[in-house]
Amino acid sequence: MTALPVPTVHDAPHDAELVAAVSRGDLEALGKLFERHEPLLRRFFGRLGIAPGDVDDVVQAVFLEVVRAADRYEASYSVKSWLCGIATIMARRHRRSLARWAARMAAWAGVETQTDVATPYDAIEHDQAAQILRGAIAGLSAKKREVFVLVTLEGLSGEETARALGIPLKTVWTRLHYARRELRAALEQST
Amino acid sequence: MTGECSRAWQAEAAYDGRLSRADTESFQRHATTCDRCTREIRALETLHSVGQRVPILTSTPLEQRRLRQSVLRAANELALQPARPRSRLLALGAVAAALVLLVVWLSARRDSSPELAAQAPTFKIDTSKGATWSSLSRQATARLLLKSGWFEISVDKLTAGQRFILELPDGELEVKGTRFLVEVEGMKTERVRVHEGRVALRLRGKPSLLLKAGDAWPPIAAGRVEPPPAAAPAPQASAGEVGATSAPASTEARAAPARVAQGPTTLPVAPAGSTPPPSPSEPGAPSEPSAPSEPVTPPAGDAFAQAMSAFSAGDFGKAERLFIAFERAHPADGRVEDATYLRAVARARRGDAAAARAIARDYLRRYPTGLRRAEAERLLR
Repeated sequence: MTALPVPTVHDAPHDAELVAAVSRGDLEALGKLFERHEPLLRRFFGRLGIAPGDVDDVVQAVFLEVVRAADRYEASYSVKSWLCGIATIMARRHRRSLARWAARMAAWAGVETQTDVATPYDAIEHDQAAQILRGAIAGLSAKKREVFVLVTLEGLSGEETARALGIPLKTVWTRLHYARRELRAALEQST
Repeated sequence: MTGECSRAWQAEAAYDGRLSRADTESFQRHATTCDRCTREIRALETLHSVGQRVPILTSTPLEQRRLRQSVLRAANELALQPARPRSRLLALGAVAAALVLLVVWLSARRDSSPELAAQAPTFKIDTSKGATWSSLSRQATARLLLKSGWFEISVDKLTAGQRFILELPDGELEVKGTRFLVEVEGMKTERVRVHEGRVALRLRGKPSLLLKAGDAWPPIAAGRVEPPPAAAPAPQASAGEVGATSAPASTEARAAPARVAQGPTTLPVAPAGSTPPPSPSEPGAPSEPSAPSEPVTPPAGDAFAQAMSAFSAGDFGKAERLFIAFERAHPADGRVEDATYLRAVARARRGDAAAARAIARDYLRRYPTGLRRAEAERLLR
């Protein structure tokens, strides 16, 4: 007698299934997506240079955009790269936002802002190379930084990055090459 | 292997997985013996590993739960929001479409108009021997600086925005799309004669004049002598952006630098009843007229017969000069048409096909229904 396969009712649903459920108005699915991908988005925004105090707002904006755009999600590419694409757009919007402008104005006016608050970066003061690289990444243009973070730090493929950013694959490699060149120069200068 | 390596660029491609399997294996074999490529790979690995050590933002479980709650609340509110009225969306769409159309129209207009405006007028210029001039064209404005000599200029019809200006030693002359003759001598404008179209003449210290076809400045008084243009074959010359020519030439130009080609002399049509050309010593005459200066003008019949005699004898250079003298001396004679055509033939027989074609074109322009039209057209082929 052949044993029947036991249905894996407790298996976690695939990300794409969660997105499909979100598109049908399932907020529970949205909660699961949040739990899975919030750390990724927080890390990603930190690497893109979003101030720690603003990250919660931008992460929330990404998930609200997921609710709006869920029915347009194409299952042919990963939810991770799709989320990174949305997150990149949100980060760009954030950079242009009035809030940031207001923060700058406050900084000019001498008001203490959240940038003066201790950040997790401070915990690794001892890793000089990482500190230098962090500064160099912050000095990259937004376009180069997005590609470098997605490919080198988040591990997306060139194709996924191209799709997430809506740019040609060759542009991904070009931007990555120039980003690496700048970062290597920064590291080499320090040694 | 040390120093530079032509395959170093492959390190990054191999590292990113952009090379084919065979190329990757080939590069890996190469890298084992190449210090430069090994260094490249190490640098990429270092960058990656240091990048991973750059601290990341994290949140505590409590912070995560709070944010999750906030996201779900906001998403719920979003879901509960009434859908935007369709009519409002349609109105917004219509406004957007109108804006897009406006932008497309404006950009198309902007794309097309500068090209038209940027194109300088085209013109043809015949000059006397020794004439000096320069050309300065910028976008839609052609500007010729005339220093000395006579210039017969034919300007193609000007389009909107195009300007053609002659800078004279003592003023300027703006063309309104025309064919005309201007003579400059001793830093002074000697005369202007308009054959077709209109020109605006603005001389310093004098009121602006609008000259129409047939008008001349100064006005031709009865018995006034019309100085003849030179008729000698023009040597090759060239005019740069701010260059100068000092040779007679027939130039067809579109902006500067002008293309100068050897060509015939286009004869100004003297008014009926005008007197024979002056000798070179007369004021207003070109400095080196190539037509023979005759102290006594022979009768029309004799002059034409002399030219025909030279033509029949095969002395085409002399024949051409005599035909020119005949045309100038007897512009109202019915044989002027033949003389013009025979000048073209004479040029052709001298082996100067380009000039022959130019004279034939001049013939066809002056006598579009002339008796020699078919032959002239054959010369053009």
